[in-house]
Amino acid sequence: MRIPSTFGQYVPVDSPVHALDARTKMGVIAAFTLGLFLADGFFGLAAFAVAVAAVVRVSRVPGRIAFRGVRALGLILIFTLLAHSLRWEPATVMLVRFGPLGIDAEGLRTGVFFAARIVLLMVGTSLLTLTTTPVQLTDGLESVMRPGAALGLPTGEIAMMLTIALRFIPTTAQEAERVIIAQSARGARFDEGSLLARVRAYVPVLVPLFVNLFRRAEDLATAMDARCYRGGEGRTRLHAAVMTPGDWLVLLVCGTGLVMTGIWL
Amino acid sequence: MPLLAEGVSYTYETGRASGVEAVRDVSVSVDVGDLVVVAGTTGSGKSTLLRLLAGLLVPGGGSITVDGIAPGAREARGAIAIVFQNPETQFFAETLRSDVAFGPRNLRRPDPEGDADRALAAVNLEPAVYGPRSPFGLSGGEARRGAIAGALAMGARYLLLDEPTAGLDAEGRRAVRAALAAERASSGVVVVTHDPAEFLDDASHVIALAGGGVAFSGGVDALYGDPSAYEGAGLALPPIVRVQLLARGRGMSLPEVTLDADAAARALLAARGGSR
Repeated sequence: MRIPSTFGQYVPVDSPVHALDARTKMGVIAAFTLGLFLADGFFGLAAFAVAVAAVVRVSRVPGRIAFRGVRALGLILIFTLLAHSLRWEPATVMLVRFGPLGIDAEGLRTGVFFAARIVLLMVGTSLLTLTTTPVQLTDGLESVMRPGAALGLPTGEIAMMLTIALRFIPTTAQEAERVIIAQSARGARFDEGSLLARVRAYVPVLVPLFVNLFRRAEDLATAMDARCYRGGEGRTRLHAAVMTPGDWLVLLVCGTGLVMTGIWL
Repeated sequence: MPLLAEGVSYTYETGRASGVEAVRDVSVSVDVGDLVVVAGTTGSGKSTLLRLLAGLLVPGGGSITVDGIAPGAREARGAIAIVFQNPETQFFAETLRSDVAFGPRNLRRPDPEGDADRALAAVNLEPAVYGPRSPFGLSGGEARRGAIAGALAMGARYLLLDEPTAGLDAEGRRAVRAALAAERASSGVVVVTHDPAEFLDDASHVIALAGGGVAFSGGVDALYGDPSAYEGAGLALPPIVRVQLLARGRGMSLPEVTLDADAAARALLAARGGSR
């Protein structure tokens, strides 16, 4: 059994998009998402599609990886298309008819519009995680959440938890694979018998996995303690994120783009 | 018929066109009663070779047979038991006996608990004492031996172990070595390790891997006779063996090279011809 590699995993190449501050990218994504829902015509979507394609190009993320997420959306896309275009015993003129079922042009148009919007949303937002390391991302999040600290929100701790959680996803996946192979070698079968039997077959995998996770968490806590970690307050960073003039320019351009979308598209 | 690998190669796919060749043209033969030591530094391909022998990987070149059939085949199920690195991290049951019986239960053997008790006794963990204990409360050496018992209990003809003594103290190492020596009575044992010192005395055959290829393959006597290829693979003979080889090199006649410190000292003194 293989743990599938998830879409949206950081692609370590050097590009202007990678160089942007995580906060800038989050701002751009927010503007992009908002703009995408403001645009209510195919012309607007086309403009966004061109923009997304351009950013994918500049980011030097291989197209295969940038569009990988779309495949996972397949069912949702098909459902969106069908839900909008299928009519039961339609009165109006139809494009295609199968007995009482028909597809009408107006519905098809709407379906394609919504499906295209979902695809753009998926590809555009996945660029954030494709071009930003998890650490940059959580640092950015912490910075964005900072106003919440005044309200007593433990932003530093939340960011640290996110960082650690992200860091341990691949480790845990490897560990799971290791235990599955080891128990298979002792004759465990995960693909035989009833559903209940299959679920029960995973007990010898899950127990060691959790035991090792807790043990690792304990070790990590001790190691952090030994390095005098006392919570997030007043901590400085080795790689402090700095907003460059380029970052502000990108934000300005995207903000303007959003306003223009709201007015014209 | 032995567990036999002939000219086996394996290449890991890396996404790039060439891939990484982890094992290249390696041949091994293991019979019941053998203890084959596969030594090599990190990245020499020894763990990959173990997975190939166990049928977990399919060789890209060459062939592997277990008593004449492919190790991945259904009929070969139960013929090979494998102990991975740090096997004590795979405990899951409430008692050690039940955990050790997991393998035999999966193989539908008639008396899994009995198999478990015999395996525990074989690794020198008294079944009556250790059987009912929680596997999570054992010491490092006990846990390792308990996990090895989990593989022994399957009654396989071939037992493959990856770094079985790594991270153990001297006592734990001795206990594992004794357990494996006893296991040879009924099966063929393959030990893969970067530090084979404690297994050299018992080994029937030593293979040194370097960069995926075989740097040395032969008996312990051949190894001691000319250790240059073995040392060229980045491996070091135990200091006590080196001393005896140096003595031989200077013309002292030693009947045998041994890892036993007392025996070596006596032989060296005798060869020097002095009482002290």
